[in-house]
Amino acid sequence: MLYLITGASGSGKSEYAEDVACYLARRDGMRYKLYVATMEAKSEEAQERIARHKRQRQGKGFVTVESLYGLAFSFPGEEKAPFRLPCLPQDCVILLECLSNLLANLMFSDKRSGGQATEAILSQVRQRQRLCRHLVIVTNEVFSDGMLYTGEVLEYVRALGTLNRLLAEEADGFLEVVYSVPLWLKGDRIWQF
Amino acid sequence: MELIIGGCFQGKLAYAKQRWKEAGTRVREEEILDGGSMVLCETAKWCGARSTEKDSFACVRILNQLHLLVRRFVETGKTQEIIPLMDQLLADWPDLLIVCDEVGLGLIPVEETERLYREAVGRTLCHLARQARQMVRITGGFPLVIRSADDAQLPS
Repeated sequence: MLYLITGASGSGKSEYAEDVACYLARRDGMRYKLYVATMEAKSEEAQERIARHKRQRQGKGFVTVESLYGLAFSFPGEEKAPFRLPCLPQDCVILLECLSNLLANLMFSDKRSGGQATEAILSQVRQRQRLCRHLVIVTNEVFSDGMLYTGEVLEYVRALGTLNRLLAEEADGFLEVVYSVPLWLKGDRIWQF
Repeated sequence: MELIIGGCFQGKLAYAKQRWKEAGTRVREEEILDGGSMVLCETAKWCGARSTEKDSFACVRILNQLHLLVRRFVETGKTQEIIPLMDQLLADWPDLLIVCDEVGLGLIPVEETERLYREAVGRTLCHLARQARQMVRITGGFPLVIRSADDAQLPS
């Protein structure tokens, strides 16, 4: 199943998404919770943010995979990808944190266009059955600041909006976390915690 | 306490006054605290005018523009004092209606203070939402209930 979780900055969406991943793993008796971290520790501020996220998920039993370009994993026996999953897909829930970083990495570090980056992410997500039983993706609401962006920033915002729409359409559950409270936009309220 | 959030100029304060009216109370202007201009004493603990003008300030019913209050703390490097202040306010006025602009729905700003401000508003709202009897988002004057007391989905 695919779950997409969005929200404003500081809305508590990351913490909520972690709880969702833990709930799914517990409910379905899955052994591995993979936390795919996409933030580059470029600045002191980024390092602090990463440290805060680490503290937040401490004790929740996640295996952290630092993967700036997303879900490029392989299974035992395959050597192509930098990270090999420790288990079979049915034993694994993956939390991707977060789509807005992943897109920025692909566009600004890996120098792909918005369209190419969108395609790359969609194709990764669409191969999820090969990787995991549940995929939880955290994304970002960056569309209401009233700013008129141009150039590559505009391209980025458009690409993230497109991704959110396409992934929400494919998702089994889509919700906005409004200051720690889930607002369901699609799917049944399957969990309660 | 109830939380009223949304974009700017959406009728959040009018909605707050309406809520009080439904409860049989007409809110007087002096019963509204404004986050941008309310008095803060040195220790950053709320003192308002309550201690000095007790009679005219006997009751606070609405805290308006919480985002501006958060901004004042962030700009003076006292971000960590916001939550204790809110707790103190709520201990004094448990029926407070808190009105706040949503400011975190955009790209991460280049300027550090702006980033910290948006983050702090979000964190403060998370803290308040957990204990709010109701949280609504106002759009064009209309409330969308995001959380209500009878909601089965109450977070812990």
